[in-house]
Amino acid sequence: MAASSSCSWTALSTDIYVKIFSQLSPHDTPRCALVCSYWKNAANEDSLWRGFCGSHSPPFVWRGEPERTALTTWKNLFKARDTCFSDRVGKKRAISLPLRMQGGYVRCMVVEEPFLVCGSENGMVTLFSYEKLRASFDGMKECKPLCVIKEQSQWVYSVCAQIKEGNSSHPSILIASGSRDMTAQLYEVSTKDGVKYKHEILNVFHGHKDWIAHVSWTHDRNALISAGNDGMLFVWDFTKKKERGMVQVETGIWQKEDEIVLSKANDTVEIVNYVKFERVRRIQFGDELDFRTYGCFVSFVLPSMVLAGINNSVVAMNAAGEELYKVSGMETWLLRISEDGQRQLGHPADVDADIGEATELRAVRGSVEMFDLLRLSCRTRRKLPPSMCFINSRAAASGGTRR
Amino acid sequence: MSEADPEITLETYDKHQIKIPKSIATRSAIINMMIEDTGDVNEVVPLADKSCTLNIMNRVIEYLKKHAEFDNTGADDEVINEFDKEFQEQSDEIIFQTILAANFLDIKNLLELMCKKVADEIKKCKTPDDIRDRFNIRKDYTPEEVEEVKRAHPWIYDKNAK
Repeated sequence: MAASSSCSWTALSTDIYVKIFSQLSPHDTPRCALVCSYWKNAANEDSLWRGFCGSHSPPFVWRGEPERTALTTWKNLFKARDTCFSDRVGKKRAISLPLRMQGGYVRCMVVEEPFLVCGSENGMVTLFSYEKLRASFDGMKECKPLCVIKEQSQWVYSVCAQIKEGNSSHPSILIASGSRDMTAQLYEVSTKDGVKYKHEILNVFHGHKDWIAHVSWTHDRNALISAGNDGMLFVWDFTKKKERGMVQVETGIWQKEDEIVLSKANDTVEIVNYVKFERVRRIQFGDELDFRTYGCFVSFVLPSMVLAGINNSVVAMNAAGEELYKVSGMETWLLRISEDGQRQLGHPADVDADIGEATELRAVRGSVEMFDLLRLSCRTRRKLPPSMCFINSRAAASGGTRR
Repeated sequence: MSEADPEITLETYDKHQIKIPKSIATRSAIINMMIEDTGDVNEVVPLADKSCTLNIMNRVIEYLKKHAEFDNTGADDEVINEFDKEFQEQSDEIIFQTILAANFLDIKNLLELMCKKVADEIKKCKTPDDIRDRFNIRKDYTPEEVEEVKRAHPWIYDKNAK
């Protein structure tokens, strides 16, 4: 191709430049942007960055930079991913997803060692070995599930799990799932040899008149709580249904002893005592934490609780509702800090509620990713055992829309 | 070609007429639409875009014919790539016009091929100045604006600076 003066390259349309630039690496495009203002406009086209987000970039990892990043454009999303990732590991490295959920977003997951349980939008509840999963993430290998439970007919919004006491070498696990099909189901997954796992339905709880947004064990782990979009909160024992009351529930609930945290649609979070069935505390947020968008999740990390809102912030608060710290700029889909840490570590309750360094698990479209050492705050640092998991899930890795 | 493959007459922008089989012509989504619109294969299809000159159309048709042949014979990727590569090696003027024509005629793989060629040429250039020289583009930035663009891409610029 010889240099020419007869054609005016700036006469090409922006669409064509987007096609040309999409053949470049995203790191070549700033050079193009510097050529002339016309090229700059093309290099800023969001459709171009949308393509880059899909093909070139590593999965999204968020680091607790306090500054706010508006992830409203594909370019910003790419930028956020790119900075976070290269910052974290020093060099760029793509992590592929060793887990496939056979289609469907992963909506929820919970770690109950030695297992990890996921619920996905195709109605499946999938059981993994947590250790194998971690190893497979390190080795970038595929990890096969131990057991796939396909009983729910629609999206599984929430799962919870507990190990059954007794058989120590091959423990059975109790799993409860709450689904869009308006039922909560209780399964027991057991194995004889540690290789083949079988599930058995113990109970199907009918009663909700709308999607079940969340399921959780009661504090003594002898009953199941479910919260639905119909505004009902049910407490079930494992054999029969017991209805205890009604509250307006929108998305997540988490609990601490006899209290349960409900996040609601109207920018409020409530703490409700589910034994006495009375409101303990109510915290109202302004617009900043956008609880009206579907996916606010709330979690207890004793002695404080941590709240997360979509698009905006993660806030840690103590039980009195005072803000301990806040990190903005995070698009959060599901936030969960499992266990309380102190009991596990044998510490007295003198640790100033800090997530510290934790392992991050992230559920994205059709897959689960795991990252180490996501730092939310460094007020007091301490290492947490692997079971202290920070789980952060976004609807879609590349910002795709939720169906 | 099969019997039911009538010839279509195209009229280029510079008023030359080219006859090509319908099966080739319909590889362009636009020509296909125009034929379907009239419903008459005997009607002359005018190509109204400036880029569709006789010279360029001959090249476009060469590409379409060759690729039709590849599709029919199930040619190896290697053979196809070789042809594509050779097809790319043209003067800027022809590449430029071919891009416009492919875009106008909506021939996706040809457009992609030529865009890739341009992208390859961009990749060869180390600095924005090189790119401007190579593509004969006038710099319309003030120094302040250059800084501003650089600031807009800090995450990439720092890395490139290494």
